[in-house]
This record gives sequence, C-alpha cells and structure tokens, in this order.
Amino acid sequence: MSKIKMSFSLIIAFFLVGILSTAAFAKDPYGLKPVQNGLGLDVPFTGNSADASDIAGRSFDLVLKDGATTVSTTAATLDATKKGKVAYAAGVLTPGKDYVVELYHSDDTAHATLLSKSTALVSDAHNTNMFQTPDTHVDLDGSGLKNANQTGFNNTRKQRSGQKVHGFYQNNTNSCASCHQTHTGADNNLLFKDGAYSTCSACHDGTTGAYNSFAPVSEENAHSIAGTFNVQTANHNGSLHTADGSLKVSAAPGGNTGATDTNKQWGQEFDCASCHAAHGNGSAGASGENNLNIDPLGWGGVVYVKGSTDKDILNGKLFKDLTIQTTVPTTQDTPYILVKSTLADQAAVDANFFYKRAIGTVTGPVDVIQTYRWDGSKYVADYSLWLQEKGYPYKADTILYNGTTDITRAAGMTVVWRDGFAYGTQIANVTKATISIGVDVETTDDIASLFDSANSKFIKDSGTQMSKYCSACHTDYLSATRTNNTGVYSQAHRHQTGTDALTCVRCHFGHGTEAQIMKTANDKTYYDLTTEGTTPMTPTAAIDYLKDPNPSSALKRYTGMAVCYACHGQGEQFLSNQNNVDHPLGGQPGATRTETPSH
Amino acid sequence: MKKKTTYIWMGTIVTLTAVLFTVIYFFHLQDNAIKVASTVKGGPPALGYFIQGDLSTPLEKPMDVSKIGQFLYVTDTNHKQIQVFDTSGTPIFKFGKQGTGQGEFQFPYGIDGDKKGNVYVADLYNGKISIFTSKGKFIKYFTDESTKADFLKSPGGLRIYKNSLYVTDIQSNRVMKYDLNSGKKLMDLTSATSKDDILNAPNAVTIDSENNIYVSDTGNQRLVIYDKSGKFLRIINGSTDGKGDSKFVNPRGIGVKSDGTLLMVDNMTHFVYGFDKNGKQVFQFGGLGSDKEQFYLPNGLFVDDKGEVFITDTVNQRIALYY
Repeated sequence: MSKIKMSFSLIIAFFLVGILSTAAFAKDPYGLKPVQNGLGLDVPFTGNSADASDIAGRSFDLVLKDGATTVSTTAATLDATKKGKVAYAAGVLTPGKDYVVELYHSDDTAHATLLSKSTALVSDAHNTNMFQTPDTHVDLDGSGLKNANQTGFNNTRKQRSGQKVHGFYQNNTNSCASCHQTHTGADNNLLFKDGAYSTCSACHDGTTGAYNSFAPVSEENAHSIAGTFNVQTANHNGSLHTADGSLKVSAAPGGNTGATDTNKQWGQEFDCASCHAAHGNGSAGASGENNLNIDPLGWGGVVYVKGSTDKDILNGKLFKDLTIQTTVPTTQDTPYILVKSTLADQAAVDANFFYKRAIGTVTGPVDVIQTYRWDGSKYVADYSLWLQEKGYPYKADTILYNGTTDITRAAGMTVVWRDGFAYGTQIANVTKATISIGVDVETTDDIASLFDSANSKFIKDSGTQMSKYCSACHTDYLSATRTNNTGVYSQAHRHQTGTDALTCVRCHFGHGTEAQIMKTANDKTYYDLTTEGTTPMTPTAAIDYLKDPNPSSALKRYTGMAVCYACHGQGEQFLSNQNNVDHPLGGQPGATRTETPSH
Repeated sequence: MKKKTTYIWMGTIVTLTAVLFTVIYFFHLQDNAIKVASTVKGGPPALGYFIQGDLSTPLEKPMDVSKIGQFLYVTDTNHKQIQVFDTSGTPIFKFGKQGTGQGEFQFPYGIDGDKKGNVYVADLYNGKISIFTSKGKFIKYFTDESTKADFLKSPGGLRIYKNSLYVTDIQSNRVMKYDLNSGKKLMDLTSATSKDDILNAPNAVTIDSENNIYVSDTGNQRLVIYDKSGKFLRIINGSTDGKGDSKFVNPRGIGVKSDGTLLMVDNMTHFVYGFDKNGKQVFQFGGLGSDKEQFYLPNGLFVDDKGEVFITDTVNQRIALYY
C-alpha cells in the first residue's frame, strides 16, 4: 500500500471514529432518565426540540421491559413545557432487577421507531443483596455508554434505599475528591494527609449544615445521644473517645485481641472510620445518617471455629456450614444457629416483631429460616443483619445451600438481609448455610428508644445491636448474663450488656463527655441545676457538682456515683442518693422521668 | 589586671554568642515566609508568597485572616490561638489558649480590626466576639446578648466596615450588623429572595464601597448580595443570573477589591473565583494540591487597602498572599 493510500485510510479511520464517538456521546434529545422514588420509579422525559411535532399534548408510550418480556406499556403526554413523566408504583419493578424502559411515539403503534431507551432499576434496603460486587454497568441514557461510577446503582456499597449517602454526594458530582486525593494521598486510603479524623472534622466542625461532632455543650444538646468531642479535659474532667488516630484499636479497654492477633484490624489506628462508614452503612431510622458501619472491625469475615483457643476466632461472626435445625436446641452449640420453621411458628415466638421491618405482607403457610442466638441460657430469635460482602477488602458472606448448590437467589427464595431471615418455597430445599452476622444500629433522636420498651419509638433488639456494636472493640464487655463466669473470652462478673435494657449507651456516650454534659442521678443537667428552684446553683457550683471526682476514660453519661444511682438506689446503702427510696423517680433513667412526692 | 581582662573576654564571648543566636533566630523566622515567583498574568491576582507560621507550632486549620495595622492576624483555629505576622511572614507573637474564659477560645474563626487597631475575634463554639488590643490583651466581649431570645449564638465570619461590625451566625442561619461602638444590633438578615428562602450556615460576610453586603451562604452553595438597607439584590452561584443549579461546593471567604471585583473562596473545589460587579465570573485560580497556585480546603479571604489578597489554606497550613 502506498504512503498516500495509508494516509488516506488513516484519515478515513479517524473520521469514522470521530463520527461514532460523536454519536456515542450525543445527548439524548428526549432526556429519558429514570429516577428511583421510594420503591417506585419515576421516568421523566421531554419532547425532542428538533421534532416540530413534539408539542404539548403529544402522546408517548413508555415500554417497561424485563429482558425481552414487556412488563407494561404506559402512555404519557407532553405538558405545556414539553415535559412528560411516567411513574411506576412500588411493586411494579422487583428491587435489584435490571429493566429497560423504551420511549416511542404513541402514534407509532407498532413501536417501530425507538426514540430513546435506558436501564431502569430500583434498589431496596431490605431484600437486595447488599455489598454484592457490581457485575453490570449502568447505561444511564441508553447511549450505550456505561457508567463506571455506580454510586447509587445496583447494590453498590454506597446506596441503600431511603438513606442519604453521606451528604449530598451523587453520581454527577466529583465529591470523592473532597476527601480523597487520587494521586497524592498521604495514606493508603488516599485520604489527605492527616487521616480520617482531620478529613471528617474538616466539615463536621459546625461551619456547615452537617452534624457538628465538636459541638460545645449547650442547653439544646444537653440530652445529646453521642456526646461531643469538644470536651474540656482540664476544668471539667472531660473524657474522650480518642478517635484522632493516636491509638490503635487494640487499645480499647476490654478489647481481647486473642493469642495470635490474626485479625489485622486490631492493629489499625482508631479513628472516626473505625465506627463510621462514610461510603455506606446499615443505619436505619428517620435520617439514617449516623453511618455506623454494619461490619465493625471486620468480624463478619472472621470464621468462627467452635472450641478454638484463639480469641479472635471465637469472636468471629462468620459461621460456615451450619446445619439447619428443625427444632430450637436447649443446649449451646455455636453462638448463632439457624432454625427452619414456618411463619405461623415464628409469629407465635414473637408476633410483634417478626417481619416488622420486612417489605410487603407475607401470608399463607410459608417456610422460614430464622437466626437464633445463645443468650447465656437458651437460644432466642435474633434479628441481626446478614452480611454479604464480596471482593476486597470484605470477606463476609451469607449463602444458603441445597447440597452444594447456592440457592440464595433462586426463585422462591426471599432473603431479608437486614433482619437476618429467609422465607419462601425454596426453604424446604435448604440443607446447610453459611451466615455472616452484622450489626444494624437504629439511628434515633431519643436515646431511650434503644432501651425503654415503654418508649413510643422503641424497636426491640436495637439496644442489643448497639451493645454488639461497641463490643466489636470492647469484646469482653458484651455479656448475655450477669452471672459468674459469663462472657465468651474471659471470666468475670459484669453487667448484662447484651440486652436492650442494659445497652452500653445507656450509661456511656460514644464521642465524649465532661461536667457540663453529664447528669445527676435524677437526670438533671447543668442547665437544670443553674435555673431550677428558688436558689439555683451558680454555674461554677454546678460544674463543681457535676465534675466527676474520679475522672476516667469511661465516657459516662452520669457523674460520679450517679451512674450507679440512676438505676440503683433503693436501700439504706444508698441513703446519700438523691434518687433513693425516700424520693424515687418514676420511669427509666435517661428517659422521661416523673417526680413522686416524698413520704 | 588579669582578672579584668578575663571579664572583658568573657563579656565579649557572651555578647558575640547572643548576637550570633539572634541572627540565626531571625534568619530562621524569615525562612517561614516562602517566597514564590509569580507565574500568573492577566485577570487573577498573582501569587506572592506563603506564610506558614512559627515552625515550632505551624498553623493548624487557619480559618481566617485579617490585616490590622501593619500586621496579619490569623485565627489558628485548631491551636485555639491567634498568630500574628508582619507582612513578610515573620511571626511576631501569638495569643489565646483553649478555654471558655476571657481571652480563651474554643473555635476562633472570623477576625478583623477597628481603626484603633483593636482585634475582634469571633468564637464559633464559645458564642462570643472577643476584643483584644493589638498586642493581644483581652479588653472585653463585643456585646453580650445572651439574655436576649435571639442572641448571637455561633459567630463565624466577621468584618468591620466604618463604624459597623458584620458577623455571620452560622448555626442560627443569620447575618447581623451591629454598631461598632454601642454594640446595638442594626440589622438581622435571615433570608434571601423571599421570607421562606432562608440562609443556611452562612460562613462569611463582606461589604463593598457602596455598603452593599455580600454573604457567603455556605449551606445553600451560593453568594447572596444585599444593598446597604438589607434589601435582596441578587444571587451568585455560578449559573446564569444565579437561577440554575449551583456550581459551588462550600463557598467560604469573600472580599471585594477597590475596582469592585468580588473574590470568593470555594472550599471544596479548592478554587478562588472572581466576579465582576454584575456577578459574572471573570476568572478563577487555585485547584486542589499543595504546590504553588494550589489550595487544599481554602477558607478565609481578606482584601487589604492595597488590593493584596490573603487566603487561608487550611490543610496546607499556610496563608497565601496574592498581589
């Protein structure tokens, strides 16, 4: 081939590539862009400005397809602004499943001329496979171009229905760069140089509308859920959860790292990211914004081996090859087991809770596989999250088997990941399972909702989940009973923390504490003491009174012995207690309490 | 005689040693001002040099800067103190410490000075504006409104213009104007285009020569401009006439040059934008990084009488001077 011919061929080739590229990147003239709305889907579109007949009132057909099968055809007309929309209600699309929407002119009755198309899916916090490594790419506008950044699509870690993904970050922003440096990060997470603590505090310092982790104590946050990192250690005897990276996770009091310390996360720096997962989380509730990690310290990927002498392994939450029980055993085997039963059986166990958070109404004789945990004396139904995390760095997994066949996602099987159970016609075929237990802490604006069953916002098991969360690091402090030789990893008497009623956060803050935020045994705050009564305390006197005389790192909600007196107080040994037998308070400490007359 | 000679020799050695250490000390301090040759031409200001602070305690999260008299006063926020430099970057002194008492800080943020050289420091967490002498001696709190229902709660950005003090109340979503001498509140801005269009975490305020008020409405990702009476004028958010989606992410420090050019720090894009009097963007400079001409979460911005621009670069722990 001559040089002239080669040059000509190259020019033609470049020209064709250019034409094709232009076509590929061309903006969809109909603006078809499905947007999830709850568990439904809104599909807005516009008329084509280049088509003179696309005027107000013109009708279009939206065809929803599941593969080659047409699910529905819905007509919509352009309004005065040449915009139209089809709204698919919840239930029309199966969460987690890929669909395609196609746009046609309604007068094109044969649907011969495709105007635009787009992938469509809805994601669901409860029933979709969390943390599954994405295996498809999302074609946002039907152009054929795949979106590499799948935040918010197809079960990627960041997105769970109904939750914010840490602020306003979304697909079309470059906000990753707010925290990460692609090429010049100073740590192995590509964070900027001062690590997670400085990264988080750059925004969570009160200068934005975001939650202020360093909020000074004020009357408004005197009943704070988490406490504050802005404590005065010197004059107010502050106590701080040292999350600035200066300590390792293994420094946690009660943290039992075991003989071999095989869990590498024990050696990591303790910082904000040790508890909070900025990219995605299991936190539920009204806001779902506290971003607590559903797999703290990675226990969900550590295999539990019965009888092991390695305490890390005993702390593992990955239970492999569990046989499926048909009756609830009366003696302990592994800390968590699976029991096969029916909906009716489970309703009899706990009618008020079972399926409470599951999507949809399950009726009829349905087989169920339910998690149970050993509570120290018996197995009780457990609603812990089931984890499934595939790919680096996650190792947790949950698989239901028929023999050696994975039927976790087979037709006739519904897995309620968030509440740790499965139901459906396939349950009869499940012969064994591997489950990974996660932690699902409810976000709440009322601390009593975690432990006070009389509280209107109370959700059973929430306090237990919170205790399990704390014990990811403070392993030895989780105990199902308070009797002798309790606990899994050492022998000691202790409070019964593995229950809703004695959840860790009933006595402790998560962030930090000091005189001005601690309370008396009667739940009086600094602001109460300095304003109530005929002779309220001076600010100095109130601080002196509330200043814990024996400062520690305990992050206490109540000062001094008040942390005991708030609950204990009936008896002569507690005569100095304000909340004693002569003047008891009704209600739960930390909840709404009522004065009762002296006698 | 021999004893006297010994004393003279000893005195000379001591004196020379002291002189030597003094010279070394000042050379050491001068090194803190890193001179960088400017490569910027045209519209945006040109980089002069960086100020990093006393190397024994480098600036940590410097939130704001102001030139008061001949010195630069910087809120060294994470150190709960104020660092003072001359304009060449030489550290002069610092004052303040952590606490809630007089002269103490928890989150020193906005800073500016009056004609007497007194220094006003807004403390976001303590909820007060403290007044210091130019030498850092605490004088008094600017105004104690704590007994009022709408008291100043979380002061952030602060600027003094003529006889008025302007301050943003970040958590209360307001901007206030006070009489500098009496402390009387003169104006309370809470919304923009309508009563329902409330400000959201405003972080900075500045005033131009016509007394127009510019507010960095951080949570709403926009700048809001009012006339001197507090009447809404316009929004700047990077879109046409401020009517489209915002292109800003966390707008912070703002300042107006004598020619009317408005400068705004966009904290999370790490750029500084320039706008003409009509709100049209005319230039930008910066971008993410730690090299010259780059910022990492820049925050405060101050324009002095000569048009020199000082920008606090929080993660890079320095003040950038632009001519």
